[in-house]
Amino acid sequence: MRSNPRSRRISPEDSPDLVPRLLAGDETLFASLVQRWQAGLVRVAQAITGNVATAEEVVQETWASVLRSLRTFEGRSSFRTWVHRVCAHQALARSRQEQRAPVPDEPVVDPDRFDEQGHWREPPLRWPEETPEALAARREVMECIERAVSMLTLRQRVILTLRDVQGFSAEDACEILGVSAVHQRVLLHRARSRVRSECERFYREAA
Amino acid sequence: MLRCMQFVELVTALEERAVGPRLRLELQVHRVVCRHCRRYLRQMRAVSGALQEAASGDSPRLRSAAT
Repeated sequence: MRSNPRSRRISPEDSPDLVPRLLAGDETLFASLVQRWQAGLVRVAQAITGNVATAEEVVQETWASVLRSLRTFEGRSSFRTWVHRVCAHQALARSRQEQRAPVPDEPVVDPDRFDEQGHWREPPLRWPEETPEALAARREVMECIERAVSMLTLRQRVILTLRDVQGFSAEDACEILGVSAVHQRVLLHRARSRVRSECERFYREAA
Repeated sequence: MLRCMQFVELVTALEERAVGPRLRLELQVHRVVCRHCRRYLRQMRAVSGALQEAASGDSPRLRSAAT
């Protein structure tokens, strides 16, 4: 019997091959680290920036930065410490220069649904059906979707039909409609977003 | 830094694997930490998938309507 019950459980952060596994793209491990350390990192960042929303952004930035610079981790401190140091540096940099990333015009979601920080103020409504099968099994929802599709612009409707209804690849859809890859994506994005938002309206009214 | 407002604009590019490695990471991190954006992505996929479902000959929607 072990004297220290805590040693029975090996947490992912103690794994000696932690960094190699992350470098190899172990997303499950990465997600478990995010879940484990997120709250603590936010607290650190909040202490520096004095603002929880900014702190959350800093922590997101931290994770991206950690993954980018994994190779530079030399193991002088524990990995957890290193991650927190990255976070603190990011927070310090942020508190010096409060800057905003540009938001593309003509947003697909009403800007009023976000707060000043760009986070959800009015988050997406929860739908009773959120899988393709469940949605497709509800006649009223599918009627709503069909109506929404009919209200799209011509090109949006064509791309949506090619991609989602017919199952064409992006390349084929570009070829078929004679649009660039970027334009195809914008059309698809607007089309899907519009249909999603009509579904949301349906569920809101049905509630 | 990535905000929900930007996430909703980038989901399709993410799904289409049309974002660079750095942005992709940021989006994935955001998805892990933001349940609202996770739901947004789920609903976008559901809508897209439902169109495909409904288009396939033996539509489940007809089966369920019959029961």
